[in-house]
Amino acid sequence: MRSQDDPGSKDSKDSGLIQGTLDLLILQTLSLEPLHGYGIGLRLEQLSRGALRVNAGSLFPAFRRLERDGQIVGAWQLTENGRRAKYYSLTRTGRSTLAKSTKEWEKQAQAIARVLRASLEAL
Amino acid sequence: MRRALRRLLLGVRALVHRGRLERDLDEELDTFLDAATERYQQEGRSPDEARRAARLALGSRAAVKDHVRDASWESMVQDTWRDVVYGYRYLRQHRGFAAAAVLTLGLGIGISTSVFSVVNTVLVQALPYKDAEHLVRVVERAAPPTAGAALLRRISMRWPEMAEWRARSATLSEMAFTLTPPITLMPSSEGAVRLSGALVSANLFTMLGATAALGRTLDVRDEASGANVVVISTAAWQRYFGGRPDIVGQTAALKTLGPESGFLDGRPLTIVGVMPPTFDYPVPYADYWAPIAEDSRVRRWPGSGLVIGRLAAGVSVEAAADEANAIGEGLRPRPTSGPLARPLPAGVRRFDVESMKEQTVAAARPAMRVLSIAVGVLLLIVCANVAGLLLARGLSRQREIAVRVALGAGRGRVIRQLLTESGMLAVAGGASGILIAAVFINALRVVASPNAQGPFLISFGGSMVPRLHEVSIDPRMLGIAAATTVLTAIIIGVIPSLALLWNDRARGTALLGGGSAQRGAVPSRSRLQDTLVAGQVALATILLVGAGLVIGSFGKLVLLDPGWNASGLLTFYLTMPQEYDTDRRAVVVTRLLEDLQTIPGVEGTGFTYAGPLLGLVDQYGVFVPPGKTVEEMRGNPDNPQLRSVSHEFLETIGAKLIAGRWFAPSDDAGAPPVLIVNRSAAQRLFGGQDPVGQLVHFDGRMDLPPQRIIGVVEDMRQARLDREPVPQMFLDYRQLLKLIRDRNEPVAQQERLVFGFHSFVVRTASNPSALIATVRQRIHSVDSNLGIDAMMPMEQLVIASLTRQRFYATLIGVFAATAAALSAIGIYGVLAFSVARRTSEIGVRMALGAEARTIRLLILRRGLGLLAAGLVLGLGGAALLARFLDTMLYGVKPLDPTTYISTAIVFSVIVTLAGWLPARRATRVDPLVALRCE
Repeated sequence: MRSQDDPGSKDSKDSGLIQGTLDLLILQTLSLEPLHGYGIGLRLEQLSRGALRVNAGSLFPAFRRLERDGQIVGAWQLTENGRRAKYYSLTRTGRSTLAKSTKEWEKQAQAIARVLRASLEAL
Repeated sequence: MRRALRRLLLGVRALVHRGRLERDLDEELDTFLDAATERYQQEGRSPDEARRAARLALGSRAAVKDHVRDASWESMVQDTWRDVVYGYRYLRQHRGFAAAAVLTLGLGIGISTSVFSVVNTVLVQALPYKDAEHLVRVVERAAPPTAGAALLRRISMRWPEMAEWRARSATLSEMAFTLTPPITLMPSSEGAVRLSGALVSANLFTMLGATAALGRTLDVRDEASGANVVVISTAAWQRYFGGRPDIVGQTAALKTLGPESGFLDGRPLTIVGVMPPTFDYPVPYADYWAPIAEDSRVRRWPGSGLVIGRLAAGVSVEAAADEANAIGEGLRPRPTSGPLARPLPAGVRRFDVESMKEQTVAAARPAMRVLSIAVGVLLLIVCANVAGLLLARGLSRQREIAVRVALGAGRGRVIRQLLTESGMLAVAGGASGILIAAVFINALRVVASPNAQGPFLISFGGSMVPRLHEVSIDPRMLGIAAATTVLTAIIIGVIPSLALLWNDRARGTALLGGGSAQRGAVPSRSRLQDTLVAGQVALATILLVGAGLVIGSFGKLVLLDPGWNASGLLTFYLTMPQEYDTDRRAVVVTRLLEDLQTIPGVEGTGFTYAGPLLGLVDQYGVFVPPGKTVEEMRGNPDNPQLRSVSHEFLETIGAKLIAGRWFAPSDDAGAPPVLIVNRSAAQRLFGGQDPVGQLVHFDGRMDLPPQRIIGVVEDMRQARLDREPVPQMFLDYRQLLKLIRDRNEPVAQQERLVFGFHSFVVRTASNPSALIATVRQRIHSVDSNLGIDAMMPMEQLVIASLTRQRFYATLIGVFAATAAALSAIGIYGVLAFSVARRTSEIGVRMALGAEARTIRLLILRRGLGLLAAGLVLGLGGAALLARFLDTMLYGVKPLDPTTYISTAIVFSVIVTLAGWLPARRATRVDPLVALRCE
């Protein structure tokens, strides 16, 4: 996870969260309800009980990417304060990608867990 | 795939709506800030604190926008465009550098492409005939009269031989026969005009795969007796038929003269086709091709014509050569006595089969080899020059690069921007290169075509650079030249900065700047640069020496004394109607000479059967000096040529009498026959003794009265200026006519030997062109049936005859000049750069009291050092390579010391001048400024 103190660095190699995973998380967040940019980041924080704090420098490029790939779609709406905000929501493609990628991720996670457990047992 | 397409489309749309997307993103980020502020306020912070926390949460707005932009591809387009704009701005700021680089690239690509296109067309590409690799000639070889000389070759055959050979041969699928009569007349409104053309076997066109531009070519049915057809050239169609659209079906009455008289007897021939201007077989500038009919005299003629054959499918040249020897020995049994009986050198076969292309271009090959080397050298120089310029530029920008990297520019971005800059230079250079190539090729065509008229077009034009009219820009060479130079430019553009981009320490030192620190990391001299410049100088020296040799040789030719004087001479040729007998011709000649003499301003007139530079030679019989026999002199290679002249001709053209006297008007048909010989004849046939007064038999007829030699003239170069003179004898045409008649020679032979081309000269003290109109008038008044051919000042003819040498001299001269200029630019660049780097050092020296002279010398020393190294290498290299020039040189040896020394001096002067400017600039350095600012 990139720390908030270094928003300028975009080198994804030294962050623990690779691009694909962030995309997946955003899709999941949006599957619950449409949100704007800050809302998505906030929701991620809330859902992860504060463990995941993604900064704007990673979020917004991800939005652009997902939008280009047709996974999410943005719509301008008025917020409570009368501000114009861009709300993102899942498309049908996004939903199916979410389902597929979640399944894959869980499979991978199980496999990794199995390997880790195996080494502990060997001890 | 669909995803890529989608991304592409969205990216394009994003480019279009750039502004709006930018504003949208801004608004999104504003919303982000607001939402964050609200959240922190809800958590209990004050509005200001909340705001600040929100801004921290967002981070650098610019960075976020940057990251968003990088997530999509169209950013690259925008970045590239920005690179182009920066690059353009930079190049405009440093105009001198940009101009030098573009010019260097343009010249290099342009000139090397044009010259290579010439080389390629002439040497490498096939002749423009169908399956040209299979077109061959049969050649018979004989041993030379003197050991060590070149073998004698014969590529002609008589018609019956050809017919028989064709029937017997299994390796040659077809054979075609061509004969080019020197004089063919066609009546026109201005009297008779002379055409050049050929009598050909009707299968020639199909064998060569040539098609007509209008109408049709000849085929087998045209050989039937009574067919009476002819094919003409585009040039003839334009010039003599006014380019009329109904040309096919018109008639032309052609008549051949001289020994070939009767082949075309003046009856009207129907024009069945017009050949395109590019068809140049068997001679360039041919006007007509007439078939050899079944009943044509050609088929029974004892003379020979040129024969070409086509290899049968799947047959090798060796097999054809084997068969040629078998058939050849059968048809032409080897003589057992006489000069042709000498045995051939070991390993040389009597008959051989040679590819036609080989023969056509063999003469040009050595020159082409030289030109290819020169092209390669020039390209090398160009690459070195461009590299040098870019290196210097790159080294001086290191600080700028370091700053940019320190400010956070990605390495990729910096490299991309530098590459864009070099790329822009390369594109500009390539475009100017194509332009220069087009211009240069057109110029080459102009230089290569001699501006001669009439019969001279046959003598000169053909032996020039063959097939020059086919040359166009060769795309492959353009690609090669462009690729080499452009790649060099692009790669070198980046190299100086590479160290900076990866090496932190180098960056640091560059950033800190300061003269002393800078000198450590960024040297004021680059070894690579030095090598490049020295190499350039060496290569340019090689080219300059080569040019000096070729141009010197050309100069020698131009200045050489041909033994006669062309200035003030007007020359022309007449064509007389066929029905004039020899008596009438003699009368016309005499009257005309008398009439021309009366023109005011005319100092002398003369008549000869073939004037200088026409290359027509004739020998008559065997010349027998006193005390020798015919058998001894037969086959003697020094047998003199026979030249029929009017009595004052030799004086008029400025020949020099070295013994005895000139002809007099009294040496006519009634007087005892007399001869004048030239120095070569006197030396070789009389063993150095004075031949004046001696009695000889000029044609070997010992049974008839001898002739007396009355004078010796200095040798004259008549056939070609660069050929050594040969033994010649001159006879007054009136006496020659009587002698030949006494020997019962046929009328055709009389006409040829005595009158030939009816060549006249007129000498005037003033400009010969001014006389042209008057002379024409006089000719018309003497006899209105006379046709005038090729009237021009003799000097123009002389210049035209040197076209080939001039062509090569010009080419190499251009090369060398370019090379020298490029080297000068290179040296200038190196020294200018050095001065810029060493400003602080110079400042220190001047502050310590150094004089301007010392500073200048300091700077120049480096330039002179490079010059010396380059010169030594170059002169050595030139000495090694100069032997390739051997065949092109006349009167100048490849290791001629004058050329080498003068080249060294001239080049040194150029380079010193090139270095003077930066050296002078060094002395203008204000020590205070220099010490303070770096």
